[in-house]
Amino acid sequence: MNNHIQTDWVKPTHQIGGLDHLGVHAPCIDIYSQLLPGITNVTDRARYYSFYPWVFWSFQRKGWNDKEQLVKMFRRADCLFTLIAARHDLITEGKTSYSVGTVGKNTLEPKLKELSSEQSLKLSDYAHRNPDDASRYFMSKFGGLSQYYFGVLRDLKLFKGDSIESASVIKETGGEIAKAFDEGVPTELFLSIVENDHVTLADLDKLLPFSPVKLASSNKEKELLTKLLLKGVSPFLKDTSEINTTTDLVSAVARSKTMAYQLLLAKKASDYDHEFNVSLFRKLTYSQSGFELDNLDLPPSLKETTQKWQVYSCSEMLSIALQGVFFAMLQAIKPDLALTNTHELAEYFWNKGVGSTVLDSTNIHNTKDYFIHTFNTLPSLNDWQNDNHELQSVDQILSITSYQTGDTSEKKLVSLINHCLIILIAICVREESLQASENVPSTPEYSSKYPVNLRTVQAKLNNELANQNIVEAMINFTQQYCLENHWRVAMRKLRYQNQNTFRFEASERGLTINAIPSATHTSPRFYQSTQVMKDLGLLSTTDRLTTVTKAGEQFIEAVV
Amino acid sequence: MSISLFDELEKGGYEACLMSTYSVDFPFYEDVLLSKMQSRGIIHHMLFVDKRMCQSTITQRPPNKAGKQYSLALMKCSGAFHPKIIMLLGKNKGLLAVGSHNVTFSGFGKNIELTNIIKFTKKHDEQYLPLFNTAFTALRTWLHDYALQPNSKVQTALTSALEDTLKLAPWLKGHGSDTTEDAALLFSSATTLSLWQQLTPFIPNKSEQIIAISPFFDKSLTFCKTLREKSQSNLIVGLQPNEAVVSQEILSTEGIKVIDSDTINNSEGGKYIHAKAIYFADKYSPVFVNGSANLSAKAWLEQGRSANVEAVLVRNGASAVEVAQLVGITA
Repeated sequence: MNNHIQTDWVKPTHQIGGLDHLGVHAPCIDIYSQLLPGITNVTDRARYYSFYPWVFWSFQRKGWNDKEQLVKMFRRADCLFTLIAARHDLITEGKTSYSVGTVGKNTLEPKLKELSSEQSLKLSDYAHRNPDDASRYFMSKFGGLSQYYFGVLRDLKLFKGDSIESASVIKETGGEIAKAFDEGVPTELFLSIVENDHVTLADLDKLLPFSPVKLASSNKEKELLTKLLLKGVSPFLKDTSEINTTTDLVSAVARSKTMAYQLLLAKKASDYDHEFNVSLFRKLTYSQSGFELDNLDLPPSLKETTQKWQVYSCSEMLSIALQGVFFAMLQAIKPDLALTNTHELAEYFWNKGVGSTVLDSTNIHNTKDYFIHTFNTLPSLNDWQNDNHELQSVDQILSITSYQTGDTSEKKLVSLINHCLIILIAICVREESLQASENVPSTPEYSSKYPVNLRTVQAKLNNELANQNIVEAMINFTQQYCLENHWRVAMRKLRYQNQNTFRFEASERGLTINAIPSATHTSPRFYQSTQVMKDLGLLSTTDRLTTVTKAGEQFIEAVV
Repeated sequence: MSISLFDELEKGGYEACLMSTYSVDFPFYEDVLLSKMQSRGIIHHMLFVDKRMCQSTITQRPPNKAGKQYSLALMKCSGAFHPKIIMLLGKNKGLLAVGSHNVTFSGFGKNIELTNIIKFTKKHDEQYLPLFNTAFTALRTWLHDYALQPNSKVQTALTSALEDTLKLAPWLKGHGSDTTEDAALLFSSATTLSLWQQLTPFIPNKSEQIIAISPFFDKSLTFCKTLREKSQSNLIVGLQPNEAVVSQEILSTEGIKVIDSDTINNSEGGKYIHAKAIYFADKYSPVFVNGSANLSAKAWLEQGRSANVEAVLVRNGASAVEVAQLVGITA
């Protein structure tokens, strides 16, 4: 056949699950990225901030500079570090999990458990890069460094270089931290094992000072890392340094204030014998109130940080509410209804479907009046433990839309829409939410990037649709902010990634469903920041309680 | 092996893109296709769309960039303006797609659609240049026959935009409708013969067998019956039982055998088959035709202003057999 006429079926686009189908996670992620620079959702352990610079620093001293050798030895070192952490777990009989967040743990830990005291484990059996061999500990070329930590360590100015192959440790910062790390560990033994490629249980026992939790007893290293997160690199540098510290300082201030803010909230939780987890963090942050409806009474120097986290929390609430509405509306798409566009779907949903059951219960037709009427039935913002508080609605929405526990009976969907409306109303009417939205940028660039945000939703519902009939307003709002907005987001992904993330589509067959996504939170790096603070000895955990240590108190003092 | 229309649009090296379609999703065209093409240096765009379909979508999903970043030509037909042609044109090369795909996400990435991609490179691969000339002639003819207001400013601007394309692709003659040794592009318009009249010289008087697939049919099955008369054995019609818009009569019409078209495509099922094709299986004169035309009288048999406007590619000889085998539409 002539190559210049090709007749064939049109290749369908690659369909994936995707995330953030309404573009409502994105503004939340934008906020916490600014509030916690230097700690990300994949930088689980503080000790990698010193271990990786140390690996480069010690390899250079050893003369392992050849690129091929560097990769080979690096991967063995990365494996060995994880094995040490896993061994630490084993000798404490699983009472603690010292190895949590270490790289390749799921592959290496079972192998370690099989190892007897007479045997040795060959590192390269796991450090290899053969993609067809399931024993490979990690795919990424430089293990956890390339996959998780390099960008962060470079932003923190411990490394320089465009890529890991061309990277080097910055002497005044990464070099100093590497030296401090080196003081507390048996360097020669570690490097000789890496070189000889075999490790025994006895070796691992001798190498326990490398364990991630041993950072707590490596005083100088801990002090330098704490200083780095608190003040950035400025304290490490001499006046003649060529490193630009301006952006670093801004990041350090944002990060340290968030860490201090979290430490203060942890104190509140432990004072009331309450586990400090991300759920509680969200509730305290949103309500700015303690366990006895009291004001959190945080230091004035943390005011801006507190406000920004409140914007995050409000944005999260909005995100969950819109995802909940989206979930319920997509459930309404059925072939026998022959809906052809989003307006028909929105009209059906609020006039005849689940939405009509919810809004039928009131005689108030004006949107503004409906909002105020419903708002007056809600508890005050500080009464966040009240079952009728909008914070409890979040949990309900997550539960109803969950794949595991999800129930899509009409009764549940009515409940779902009720909870979504409660949140939307709280966000649009509460004074604190209106104040929070003042901290949302109003620039055209921001609105273009994040068209669905606190500010735009409040403007739509409180101004543009305020005098409309509530049903008409909901048809208009949900068509635009949920249904069409999803298509806008999916179109953008199709344009840039050639991937089909449409959860529903309009086709010759009318509206059809691909998959209905559950409502989900974003992950505001809470787990990582508290784990880093535990590794640095600023927080300690006993049973389920997290308490602020003396070092943690000193950290707070240094910040506020 | 299959054809990614997205990949073809992204390959670059072109400066103009002309598309014709029956239905359009403007956000898809503007935010995905147009943006992708603009990022690849394609600066001159024209979109020919059926006016009625455009009006039905315009209130819900209106265009935002028409008149600014591309020329939108609304084609006012009594029938349907139905051809699906893509012409990517550059100084030294061109790509022509003739298929069943509308300018919608379904057409480009979701439905089961069939298409033909023809490539031209100046001084190297000029064998199929006549097909490009025919495609351009088709667009020019449609603009003449169906544009909204003859001699109006809009008409003049659209004509000017179309003719400007020739400056960006000087190798394109812009006239004539020649065929090549093994392929021909057929199009219908108010001033042409019917598609069937144009196809007749290519096909045997009585094929050994005819196999056809389509999602839409005329109510009286007039065209299927016409096809049946051209076959020595039963006409085999592939359709999706739950999707096809077709009279139940097709199941009892003598000389027509209906099969489930899902078995032809070998897809995982559940997808909408929007492709249209006819294979005239014959030892001596095999012909494979595919493009925009459904198995309906409006598409194939009618002529003049009441007929649909369509475009199909005809393959004959060995290439017809190869294509039929490749896509699974065989005797």
